Amino acid sequence: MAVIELRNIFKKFGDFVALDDVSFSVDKGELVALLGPSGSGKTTLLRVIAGLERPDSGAVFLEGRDVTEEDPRDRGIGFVFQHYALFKHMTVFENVAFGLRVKPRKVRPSESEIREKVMKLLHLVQLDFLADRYPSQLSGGQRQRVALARALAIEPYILLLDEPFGSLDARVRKELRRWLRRLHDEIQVTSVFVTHDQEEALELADRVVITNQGRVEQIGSPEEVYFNPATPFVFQFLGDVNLFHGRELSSGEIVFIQNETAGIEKKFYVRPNQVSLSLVQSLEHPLQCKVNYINPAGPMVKVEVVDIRGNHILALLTQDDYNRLGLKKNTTVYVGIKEHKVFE
Amino acid sequence: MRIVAQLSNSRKKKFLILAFRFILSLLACSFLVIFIFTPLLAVFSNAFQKGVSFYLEMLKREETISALTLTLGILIIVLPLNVIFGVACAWYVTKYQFRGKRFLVALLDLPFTLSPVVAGTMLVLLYSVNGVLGWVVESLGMKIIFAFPGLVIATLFVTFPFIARELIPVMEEQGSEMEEAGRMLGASGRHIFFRITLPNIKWGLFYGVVLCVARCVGEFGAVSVVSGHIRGKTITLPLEIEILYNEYNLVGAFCLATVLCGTGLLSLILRKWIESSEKVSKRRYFFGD
Repeated sequence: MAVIELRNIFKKFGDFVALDDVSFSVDKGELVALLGPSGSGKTTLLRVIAGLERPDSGAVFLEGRDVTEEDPRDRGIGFVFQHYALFKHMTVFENVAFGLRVKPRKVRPSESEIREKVMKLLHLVQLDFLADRYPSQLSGGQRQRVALARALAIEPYILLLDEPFGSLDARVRKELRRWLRRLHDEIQVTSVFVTHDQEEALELADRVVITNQGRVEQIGSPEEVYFNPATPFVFQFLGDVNLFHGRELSSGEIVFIQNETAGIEKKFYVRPNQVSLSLVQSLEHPLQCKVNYINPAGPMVKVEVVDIRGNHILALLTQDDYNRLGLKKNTTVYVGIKEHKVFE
Repeated sequence: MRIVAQLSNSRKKKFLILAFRFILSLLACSFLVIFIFTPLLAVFSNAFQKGVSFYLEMLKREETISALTLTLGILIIVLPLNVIFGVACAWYVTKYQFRGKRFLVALLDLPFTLSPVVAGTMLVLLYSVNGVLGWVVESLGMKIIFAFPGLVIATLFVTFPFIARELIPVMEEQGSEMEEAGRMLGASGRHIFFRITLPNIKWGLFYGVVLCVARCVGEFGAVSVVSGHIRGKTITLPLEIEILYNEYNLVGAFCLATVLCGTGLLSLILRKWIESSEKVSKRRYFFGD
């Protein structure tokens, strides 16, 4: 059974449509990424699940129960805010203990139980030595982990994270990403996180929900959305793209000749690593170009070439291929396409 | 030769800047001395002109005690009302989006921009026996103008923006993320207010209270209009000072003035103390990973 289920959610802010008929569900124990450019409605969607935002229409079901009208404090959801929203007048310990201390008297744990539980959580996020510090004394990555421990203190059955690595520097971000994945595997809580970073979403999530302009473009596993993008938007959002305007002849042949009138005009979407370069013209490498820019730093060599019409094409070559071709600026090369995608 | 000329030119510039600075600080200092220090000094030196025993006697006079109790009575009623109104108003303005918000905030400044005398006159026009709402007041068997309720309303009108004005920027800067975090952790409205909101605005609130107290105690214009100057009944401390002054008891007037000066100075000292303690709480050390 789905732990989270959204049915036909609409939400407007004034004239701006933030969510436009959004439906999807999340299964127990899954780690799902909401991926989209800024303004695509992903944070609003997360806040709707949490109850911090009420949808104009549509319904939210948690474990089969309609909670659309329920107050966020009764939902039992753990929420990690983008800027952590730590209580700055409390120590790390008190921040984590807050959710336990505000429980109704009947179910509130005793002081010693609180102490034990908080220290256990701080140990889990590897911050037990900072229990007496204030949030302002911590680094970004440490604050992030305190926010996570605080959210976990109420033993939520759903964990929501808004841009969890958004305000961290690149190295800490990658470290924390892997750590979060391990933590998720360890505690197995159903989780949804928001991100605008496609690499983060594809690396971390079991499933990815790609949003654009308030709508869901595609839902699927990282492999599915990467190799079988449903829309041009998804294709372009998940990586660099070369766009070729060409015509497909009835014989199945594809031509990129300017004055050709036979066949149907189509757009061909090609990833840079599916572009191949050759020094001699052939059927496989028909398009004449000139090398414009080379950047060999990194695992792959980035080569930008320009065709006779002035279109820029980006190719990613392995270091071996690059050395074999011996490319230099202004070398004439012939471009071929290994694989392409056409959207009808 | 050109280099030499340039040198002397830059020296001239330096001299001009220094001279300008000197003139500015002289202006500022003399302004402070003439308009602030000297009058303040005069108040205290005049108050003790006839000796300490006269000073103490003035403070122990029946009229003084009654004026002081009246002023404190007004303060005790006005201050809690202002705290409640100020916090509620700042909360509403900063945590919710609604139409006419800017208008409401601008309206908050009305008591600052309006002369207190106008405020007092307005109250008289509204609540006096012949006023617009006079019949309501009369049918309730109450007296507002020339009585204690009028003094309270006049003081309330003049002082109500102080606390809200202090809190709005503080709460605006904090946003509502912390409150939302509290809600997600299961806290009730009461818990959120007392454990999250209040601790984070306490210094702003305290400073607002200090300002409000100083103004409450010192308010003259609006109170003077609605008081009717009934001795022993509607004479507050500032009004008592006026009466003594008009009776040519200058030293007596100054004696009471020291009490008002005292509250003013105390609020300034408290303000400095709050600012420095806030700085201390912000000056925390940063530990990297």
